[in-house]
Amino acid sequence: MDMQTTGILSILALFAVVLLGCPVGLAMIVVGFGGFAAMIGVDPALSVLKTAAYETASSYSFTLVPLFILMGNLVSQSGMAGDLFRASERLTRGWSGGLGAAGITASAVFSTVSGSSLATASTMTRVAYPEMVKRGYDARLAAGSLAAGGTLGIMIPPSIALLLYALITEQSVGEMFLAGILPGILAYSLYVVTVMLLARLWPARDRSAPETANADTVLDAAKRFLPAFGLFGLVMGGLYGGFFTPTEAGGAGALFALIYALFRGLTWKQFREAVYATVYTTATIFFILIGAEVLGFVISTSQLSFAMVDFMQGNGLSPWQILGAILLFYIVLGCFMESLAMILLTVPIFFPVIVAAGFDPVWFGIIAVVTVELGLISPPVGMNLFMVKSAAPELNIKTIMAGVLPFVVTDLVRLAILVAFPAIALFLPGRL
Amino acid sequence: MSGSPPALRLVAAVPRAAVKITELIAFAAVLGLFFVVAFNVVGRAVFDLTDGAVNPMIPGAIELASYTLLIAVFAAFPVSLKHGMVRVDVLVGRFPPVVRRTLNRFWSLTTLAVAIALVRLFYDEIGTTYARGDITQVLRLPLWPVYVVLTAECAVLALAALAELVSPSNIDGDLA
Amino acid sequence: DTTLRLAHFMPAQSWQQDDLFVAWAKAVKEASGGAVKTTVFPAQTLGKAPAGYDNAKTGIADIAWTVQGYTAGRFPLSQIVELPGLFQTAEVGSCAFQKLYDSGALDEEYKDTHVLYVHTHAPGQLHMRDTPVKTLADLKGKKLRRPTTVIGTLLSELGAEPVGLPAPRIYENVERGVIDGYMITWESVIAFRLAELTKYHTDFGFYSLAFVTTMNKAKYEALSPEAKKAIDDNSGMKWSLVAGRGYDTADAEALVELKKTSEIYDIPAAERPEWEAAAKRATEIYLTELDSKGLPGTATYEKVKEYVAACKAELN
Ligand code: NA
Ligand code: NA
Repeated sequence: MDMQTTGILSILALFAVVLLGCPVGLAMIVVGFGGFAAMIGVDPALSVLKTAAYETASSYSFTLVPLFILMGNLVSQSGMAGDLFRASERLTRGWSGGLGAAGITASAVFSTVSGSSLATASTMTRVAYPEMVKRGYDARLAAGSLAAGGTLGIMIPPSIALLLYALITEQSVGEMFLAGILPGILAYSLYVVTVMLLARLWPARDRSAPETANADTVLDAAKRFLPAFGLFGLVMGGLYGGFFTPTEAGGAGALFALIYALFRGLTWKQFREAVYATVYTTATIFFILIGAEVLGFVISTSQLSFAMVDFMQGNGLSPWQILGAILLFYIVLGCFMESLAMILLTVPIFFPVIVAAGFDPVWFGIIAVVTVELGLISPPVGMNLFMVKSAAPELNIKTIMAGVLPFVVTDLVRLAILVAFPAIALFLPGRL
Repeated sequence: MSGSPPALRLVAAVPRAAVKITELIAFAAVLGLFFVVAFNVVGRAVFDLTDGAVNPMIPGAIELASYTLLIAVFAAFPVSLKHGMVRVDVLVGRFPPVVRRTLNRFWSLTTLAVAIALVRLFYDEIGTTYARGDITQVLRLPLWPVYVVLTAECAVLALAALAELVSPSNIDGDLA
Repeated sequence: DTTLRLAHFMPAQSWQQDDLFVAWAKAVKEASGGAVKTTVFPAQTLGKAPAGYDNAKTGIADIAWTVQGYTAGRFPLSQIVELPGLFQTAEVGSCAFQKLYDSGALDEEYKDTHVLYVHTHAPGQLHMRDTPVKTLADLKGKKLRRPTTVIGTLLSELGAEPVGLPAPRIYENVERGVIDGYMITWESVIAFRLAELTKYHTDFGFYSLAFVTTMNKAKYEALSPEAKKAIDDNSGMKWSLVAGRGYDTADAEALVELKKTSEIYDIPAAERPEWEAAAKRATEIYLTELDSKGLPGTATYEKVKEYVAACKAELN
């Protein structure tokens, strides 16, 4: 059997074992190991396992992964989310769908300090959902806006997804973060429009006092948004001002998040919870990162990417058809698969093809993350849906799915806009 | 798994302490990493502000951070088995429980095999790096103790995988 | 028929890819009458740079081209050729290094693999992102990438803070501001697109670097006698010199390119003695370290000097 055939069989085997419930990282490790052993030999494959495990976990570039996760987890424990929601809620009173828009606004602001969509969804749901219920808000609207709002966590920088994409494709972390800003604002705007349109379809009772936004509420919002924007400014400003390396930006972000949380009365128990949560997420991510590295040896040795590019060119496929096929694959896969795993599983396979097809790697990173965001809220398996469910156990999962479906449509619209206008993603990095 | 006989449950109880210890190591290492990086950021601010007169930066901070990450990551693996790893159960979720249980046991067995392979590989490196006197690039510290730690951490991973094999903590996978 | 996998860490568009590795592959293919083919894997696609030697040892790659010093302390005698001031061109350096290898003095260091050839690059340069370096004061406290610990000692003696990084990781680390500058040859500044990030270059020249192209032992042993002969005929001095001359030519071309966009500084004559004193200290520190470990550090250093003299005579 020639190596390209082994490579193709390995990829097929990978998806087969993943479908059979094999943990994603483990699947990549064993299929990568098996594929390399088949092509080269068992002893070299063992060496690949050792090298990949050691090099990945000891790479200085990757130290920023736990640091950004820690930063977000500390902020999640700090009570900032409650502040953001209360201020946003006063801002959007009197709007149709006001509470939903408030949830999305608070999620967007929270996303400027949290790199995780799961943490954003679960933290915001915990503070906002009870308030929405108390006001008699439509449960579908509440759940949908919180699940969708949570996905902003990985589009608006800092973002663990953009970070991992930058690290595995050797793009600049700073550029990837900058590229996420305008698409993040676009996402936020589209979500607010969606919730306002939905409020007409599902009239939302809102038993709050009909106070509308005024100078006071705006000032209040500015005050309560300040810590988040301050922290965001520090991290991003330090990064672009050349004062921090990305790792240092993560370290400084976590440090200031800790100081802020202490100022807000962080307890030892909350601190422990933030660090332990960081430990678990780090383990999950690195297990898959190591798997991606092992699998990478099979992809390069089999020269599979060349084969794929040759195949596509041989069949006269245009770059846009290739992109379309990859996006379709992402959207379908996203229905069933967790976000970061999807990035880590597929990017090593598709990235060489995308680059060979002539697309901008930074732009493709944004597109890939949008499809991941879509996957986070698309039923049946959407991690944000489960996050909302676990933060508000009284909610029925069917209600959450019904509520989030319109936002899935919104995400598809956003994806189309970003594909049609690459400048939205590339404008800011180009100005750097 | 309530179906396991008591003797097997005892076997599963043995690694619990070991997993707890690695969890504590991971906790400490993540904090250590945070400390090294954060301290250096502040240190560099002081260095720049005093025009280089005061230099509180940790020498070899970059290398220190890398090795702390390495130790943290492998220490975090054992406990992550129980917290559920990322998996897709859209298909297996529809299988009868007995099939799912069998499959999950099989994946635990696979994890065990990978862990044992890593123990063996890292254990061999202890001897090699010790005999050769390999050192780290910047701080020039001996490299073999790093492999001792990795070997121990992977051994605990193997124990944790064995425990999962004998008495799975969550047959439904973490997405349910 | 055999297909060998040759791994290296230079970009696919580098001169090494075409003029060294693909050229070698072609020569071996011809010498073997088409029986031995080689696929070249550039840009770390078959293993990260620091793992290069081990990857050849374990068979992840059949052949690897790597920098010995990327694994600190493992090739102590080989790295003597990195010490300052031994030679001025890569051709002479490579010739002397290959002679040292052929003498058997280094056999212990390479016993795990089958060495095809060793070589050096020409004395390397210093490149800065934000500030030019003309005097020792300019170096003080700067975080500089050095290729190996041997060269790191020199940087410490010069008052800078050495940061160990393999060449393919310089770009990201300059861009991310992890380092203020780095040491590398002119040709690699071009090959790794580093001129995009660094505009201040100092004609430094106080170090060189040891390279090896080496083959998996079992793979070599398993070859047919004819295939072995094709490999043997393309091992040793012949290809050591191709590599060395390649570096010299590429450096000269790169320097012309760089002068168009960048500023290139010389170390002022008045400053030189101080720099040279630091280079001398670094040399003594390294040789003393080897001698105290019971390795023939000083003796090997003297041998290298003899080989350099012999090579200069032969090559002129
Ligand atoms: Na974010
Ligand atoms: Na989904």
